Amino acid sequence: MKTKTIWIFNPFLYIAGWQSLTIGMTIMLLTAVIGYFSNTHIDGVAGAGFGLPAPLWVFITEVMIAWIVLSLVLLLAGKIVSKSSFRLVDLFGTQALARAPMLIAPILGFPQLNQRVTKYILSKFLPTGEDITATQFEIVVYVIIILIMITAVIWTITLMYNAYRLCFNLKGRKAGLSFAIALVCAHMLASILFIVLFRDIYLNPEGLLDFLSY
Amino acid sequence: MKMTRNLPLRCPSCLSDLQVKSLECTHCNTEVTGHFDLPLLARLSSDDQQFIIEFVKFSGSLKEMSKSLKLSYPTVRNMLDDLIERINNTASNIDHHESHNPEVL
Repeated sequence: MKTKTIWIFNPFLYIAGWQSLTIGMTIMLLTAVIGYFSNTHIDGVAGAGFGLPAPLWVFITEVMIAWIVLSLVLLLAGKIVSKSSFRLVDLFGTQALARAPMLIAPILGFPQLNQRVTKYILSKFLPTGEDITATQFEIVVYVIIILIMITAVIWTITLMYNAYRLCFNLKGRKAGLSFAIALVCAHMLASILFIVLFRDIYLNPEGLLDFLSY
Repeated sequence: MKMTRNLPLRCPSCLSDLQVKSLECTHCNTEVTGHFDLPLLARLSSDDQQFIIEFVKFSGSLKEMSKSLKLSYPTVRNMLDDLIERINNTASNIDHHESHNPEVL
């Protein structure tokens, strides 16, 4: 039971370096390719959004930016707070593998009801004049999708934290605080990059954010 | 099954470091008594001692050691880092003890 929990939340005790980098890169590419078909964008270091169609390279670039930006910020944080020696391949490899739960996001994007139900909910609060309807069943499915997505995001962040702790041999408050600060900074940095690079994809013709993000 | 007997390192009463008082030749029963400090390595836990033995056996290659232990490289490197810290703490405890009890020297 304990070993099973370790494999779910801290597989890096057994897998790191090139092995984790290879598995992680494969999963990231799969996330991008499936995202291309379901219009699911990776729009933050540990988040996803159901948005507009775009070329495949956009989906691949989004996944890569999310991974590289967080790894670089964690590298900086680790260098500041840790005295331990480390290998870059362990940091980038474990952070790549930590993104594995995000594979669920593009799969959840397939029902294609997310955007419609989001617009339906928004129209309840901000009447746009559009006649948008959603059945009770669609709303229930939508809520389940959101709950699964939130679980996947929490799982991803837990994996990212455990990978960071292991790579820099950090424990306790020092590990938690430095990771939290790094995660927030990386998320902000990645979000700015996404908006700058993919402004046309995230904004609809009216200039509004046409995106459901987690 | 052979019972493993661990060398006690701390006094069960006051938790101070223990010393060796007597040594005996199991062949001729000659006994030497006195006050002998335990060497630094003997003061480490049996797990730590085992890690050091494995480390030496693998010529100090953490990569090979991680393969043998079926653990990732950073896990084994962290184990070594933590062990180094414990060795440093033990060594500084010995220095501290000796500077406060010069008669032991």
